[in-house]
Amino acid sequence: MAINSTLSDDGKELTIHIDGRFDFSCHQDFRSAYQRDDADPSHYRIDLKGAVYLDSSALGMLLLLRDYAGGDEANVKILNPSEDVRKILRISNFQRLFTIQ
Amino acid sequence: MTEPVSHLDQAVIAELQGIMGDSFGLLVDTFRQDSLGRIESLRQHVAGGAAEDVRQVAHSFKGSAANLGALQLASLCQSLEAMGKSADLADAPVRLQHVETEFTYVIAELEALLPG
Amino acid sequence: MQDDSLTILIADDSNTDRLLLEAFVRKLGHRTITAVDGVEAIECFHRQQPDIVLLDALMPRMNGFEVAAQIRREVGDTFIPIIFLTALTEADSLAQCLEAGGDDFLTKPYNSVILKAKINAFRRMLKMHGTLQEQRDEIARYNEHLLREQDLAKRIFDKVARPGYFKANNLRFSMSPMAMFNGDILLVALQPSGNLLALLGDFTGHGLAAAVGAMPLAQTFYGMAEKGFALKDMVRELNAKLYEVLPTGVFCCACLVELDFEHHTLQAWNGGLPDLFLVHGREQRIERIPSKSLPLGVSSSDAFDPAPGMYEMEPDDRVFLRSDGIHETVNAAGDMFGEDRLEAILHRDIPMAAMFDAVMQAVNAFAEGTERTDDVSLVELVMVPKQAFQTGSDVVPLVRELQGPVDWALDYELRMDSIRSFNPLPLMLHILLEVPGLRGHAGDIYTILSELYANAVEHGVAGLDSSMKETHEGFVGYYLQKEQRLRELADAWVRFHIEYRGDDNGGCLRIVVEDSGKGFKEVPDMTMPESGGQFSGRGLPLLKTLCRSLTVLSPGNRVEAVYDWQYKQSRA
Repeated sequence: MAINSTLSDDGKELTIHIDGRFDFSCHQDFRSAYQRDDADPSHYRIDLKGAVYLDSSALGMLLLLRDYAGGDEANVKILNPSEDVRKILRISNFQRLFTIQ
Repeated sequence: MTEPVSHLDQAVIAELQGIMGDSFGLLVDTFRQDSLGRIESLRQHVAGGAAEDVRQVAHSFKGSAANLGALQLASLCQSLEAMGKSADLADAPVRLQHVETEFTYVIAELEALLPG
Repeated sequence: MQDDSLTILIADDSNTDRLLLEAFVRKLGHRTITAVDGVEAIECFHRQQPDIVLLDALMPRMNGFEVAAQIRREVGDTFIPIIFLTALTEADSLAQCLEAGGDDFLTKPYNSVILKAKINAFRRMLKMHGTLQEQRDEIARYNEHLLREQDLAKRIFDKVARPGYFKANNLRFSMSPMAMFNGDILLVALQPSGNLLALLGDFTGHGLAAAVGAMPLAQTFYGMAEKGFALKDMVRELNAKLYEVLPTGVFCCACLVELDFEHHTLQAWNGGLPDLFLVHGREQRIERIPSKSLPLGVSSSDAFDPAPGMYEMEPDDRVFLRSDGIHETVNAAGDMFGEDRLEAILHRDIPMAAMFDAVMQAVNAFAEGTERTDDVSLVELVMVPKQAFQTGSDVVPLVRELQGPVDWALDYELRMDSIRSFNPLPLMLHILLEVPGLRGHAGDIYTILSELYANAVEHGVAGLDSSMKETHEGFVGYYLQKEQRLRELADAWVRFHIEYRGDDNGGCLRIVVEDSGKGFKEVPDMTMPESGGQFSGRGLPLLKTLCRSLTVLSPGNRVEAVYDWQYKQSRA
């Protein structure tokens, strides 16, 4: 598991990359990735290209990010989920809360 | 003229004096009493042929002598200890005599170091 | 430096050496305790609890080896460095020192540089060991605390989940004994109508988080089921409750199913659990019921969809509910059990009744050789003819000793807006079930109220003719027409008049339902029709069998039902 985040040049978009298993052990790293003192982005992108697995606590973490980013007004995109990860997101119908690409 | 041969390791003595300070006299006094007691009991054990007791007392005597920098004395004790260990006390009376003689030199030298 | 000073025990029968070593150690800034033999060494050790012990090997009364061994025995895993003082030089004697529990040795003549280095080394080890031990103790305390909390959570969890109809003869389930810890929960209830309701939930998080969510979940579920709420209303309320209670990020993937044994239908709602499998035996077909909604407790917005699907079942058809435990079961090679293996078992040519065991056996065999073998939740519900269904439990409510009102009447009028959007039956039932002893008759009471109310709304208010329902097309048309008429009507009403009188033996309930419709040209025949077709189908004749009397009052827009009950004849 490795999580790192990059901020766009204009500081408005934060991209969080997740590699490996996305589960409860990532909790602290994931939170630090979006709660940054040095940035106040309006858009969030979660890049799951390197994520091989996602469990229900990861779903919970995504909800926490969504809340942090403004709840129903949040602008959070989930990018590049693998087939398995996409399926987990679909079963929970998270496409209603997030833009999944 | 030859230099008088010291029965003590001067480096050890210097360190002891540094560490003990005013108690150096107490240390010398304690050593004298310990040693007289050990010599007395060695006499009895050698006379009685108690090899194991000879070994133990000689061993302790050796440690203390070494600690005081009396290396020749320690070496003599060690040979007594070896006799006790091998249970062959044939040469022990002579060796004990050497120990006693060496001890008188050592203690004399130590006491000479004490003030007045 | 003062903070770093240690208390050091020196045990040596040689006065000279003891005196010397004491001076050495003090010079290094430490406190000393001295003993002249082994026995005194042990006494000093007990009295002063030194940090480090310096022991001469050969001492009167008790030698150094024995002292070391006894200290080791007494202190257990507390770290006390023991250093042997010796003029020994032979290797085997030195080895003996270490075997006896010594950590190091110091040879005579003493050397202050070596002594200092050794004491400093042990001081560092003591510090490190102390930190480790503190951390270990803290972890142990934390762990114990956690276990206590989990035990508490488990007891709460078991208590709120337990009062269900788990012995129903059409239900089989396997819940992991670790259910509380993986957050799985199963709730089973009976509607007043006789329909069986089941909820399988999987909380994110586990332990306390799951128990916290389980309480409102179970209480809302059982409370609403008992009062006859529709599945959709229950799902909506469960979602609202959990959304209110649970912190963001904790939610409950769940499915709810309702089996109607009379009409052989299944209502199912799935929010976040893997597909339910509905096995149609005669057609040898497996229908999947996928998750179409967000899980419970995620969102209160329109993104949450509480509408259940409606499915037909025949007797012996069965529906399987499961959490993700089955397809996530991992074998010794690290492969997951997966969906395909599960579906393949259900497709195998085996008797329907053997499917549940076949799945459990396959999953257990798959997990053989791994640690995790029973972390699986699977529930099977079978459609059975109504008369064959048995609750199997004594959940029949206790006769209440509490006295309620024994002589009362109430009038309740629903206007058009309410008729369109509100189901008054749970509310009415709730009031009636407060009557002492009447809970055991909830099914009858519910049937009477619901038939009379449906009759009043559909035939009275909406003016529909039930003969429409005789064909399939008509059946659909009937409900479309009902919806349309209810939308159009402005000034209609339905009134309930309920009177109750009770005594020590039982009571008498009189229910009159009146509507604003025109009534009927002629008072209907109330014998049970052979094959449907009469004005009210089966509704009113069915009620006649439940009630002491059932009367349609002229001109047909008022129906009176009188229901008697007695304490000793509680129906199961």
